[in-house]
Amino acid sequence: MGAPIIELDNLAKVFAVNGRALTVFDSLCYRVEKGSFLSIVGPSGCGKSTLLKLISGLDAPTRGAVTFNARTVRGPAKGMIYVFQQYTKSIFPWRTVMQNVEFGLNTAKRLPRREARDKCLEYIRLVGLDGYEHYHPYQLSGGMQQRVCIARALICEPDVLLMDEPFSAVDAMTRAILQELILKIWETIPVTILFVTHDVDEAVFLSSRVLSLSRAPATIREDLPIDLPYPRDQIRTRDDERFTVLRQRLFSSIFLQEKSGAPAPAAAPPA
Amino acid sequence: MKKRWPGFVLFVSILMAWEYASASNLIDQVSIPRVSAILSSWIAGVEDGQLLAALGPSLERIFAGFGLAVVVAVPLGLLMGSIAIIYRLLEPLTEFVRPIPAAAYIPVAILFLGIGNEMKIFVVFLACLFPVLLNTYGGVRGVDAVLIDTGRTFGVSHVKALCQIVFPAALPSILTGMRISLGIALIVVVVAEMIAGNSGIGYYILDMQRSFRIPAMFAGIFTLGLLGFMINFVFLKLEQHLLRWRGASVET
Repeated sequence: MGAPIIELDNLAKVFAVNGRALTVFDSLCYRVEKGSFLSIVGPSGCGKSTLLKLISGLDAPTRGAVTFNARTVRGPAKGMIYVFQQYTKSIFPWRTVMQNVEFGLNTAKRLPRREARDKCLEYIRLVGLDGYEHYHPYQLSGGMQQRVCIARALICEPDVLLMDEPFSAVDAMTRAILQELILKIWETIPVTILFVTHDVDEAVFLSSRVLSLSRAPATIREDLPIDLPYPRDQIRTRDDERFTVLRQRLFSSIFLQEKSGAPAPAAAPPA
Repeated sequence: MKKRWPGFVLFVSILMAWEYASASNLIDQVSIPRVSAILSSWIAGVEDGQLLAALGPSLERIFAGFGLAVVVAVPLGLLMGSIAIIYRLLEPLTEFVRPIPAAAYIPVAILFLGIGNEMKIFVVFLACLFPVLLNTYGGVRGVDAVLIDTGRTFGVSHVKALCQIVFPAALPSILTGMRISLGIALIVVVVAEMIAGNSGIGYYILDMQRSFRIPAMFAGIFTLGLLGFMINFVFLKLEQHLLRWRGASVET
């Protein structure tokens, strides 16, 4: 394994729910390889999004630590950007596409006006929104809004992009197109992507590695390298026999847990 | 605009019915003069400058008091909305002071500030303060957590987040508070002018009533209606312009 960019060291998170302690995970250890595309899957409520929040520094662990570029994460770390599932709430509706992307750039570095403009246009083009620079978010479809959020994140040139079910709120066709887009970006620019999803197909299609978590308190059930060749393609890759095998393996493991496990903690009847 | 005509027709019909009722003495023509008499008195008042002379000081008081209230309430509301300790410190106080009608402060204000402009501006200021304050901190507290986290993941400072994220996100609510305040300012300034002093549209209306120039009194009241309508209209246009990024038109 190459150099780890992120390390989880005995990570634990305990929430207080109705006065009772809910352990999301107890002592999670893992190393994320630099430049990888790592997806995190698992049954609903297993703490996938919580894990991503802890890595990003938006939330703090109860015990243990996250290390990013050999530094302990305390609060939102420079070099990691979180892309939210709810793009309608994350995009700045009062800013145009250009101004949204500009926001990201301004948080990373100060450039002369002209250079800044060119750089924004470059990233707008990267996510395929050229021609829409001066549109406001309300004039864009959901998929386009998420593209804006992705461009706004990428323009900071982060080492790590943390994506929390970024495509789960768009329709199936748009999702397929966005999946190819994010792959193209990942292959073009040097960025490590951590991708939380509940969609096993999506995880296998995109990732170089898939991490499968068990239900809470979550442990790593599987750490599966996806040895399908890049560049991947919605038609050809999904047709590949290995794709089906990997997908079946992950799906059955999660599905059996969902089916056999106790009801999710939130819906648990009073003891 | 195109759906306005039914309301306009009703408005004109009421004026015509009033005109007829007064002209044929169905209602007391002395207390409620004919609309045509009120209108000609209004035109005379505009021409000889009396109405405008009365309106000037009132407008000055409204905008001075309102402006001061916005300048104080918006920053204070932003702080209350985003810093928990300031909210907990000030919220009980504002909740207690807020329900007291601003007109009730007039006697107190007269004691300290006399019956001149300062008193009236102060009372308008107090009346405008709370709607703007409440709507500002309400708006700030209503900003979605995802939006706040977006600012955090980009590593922006608290001050920058307040200016670039929280303020624009709370702006619709702030503007609503400002619009409510302007309506209240009009009420309060008229009350203050009627209670004390010798200028302004409120004083004008009372003065006309005392000197039995009833059509001129109604002309003053009509002027208030017109003024309120115009202030609201202009403010709505401003609001639509500032919130054009919301796409759908602002409610009217």
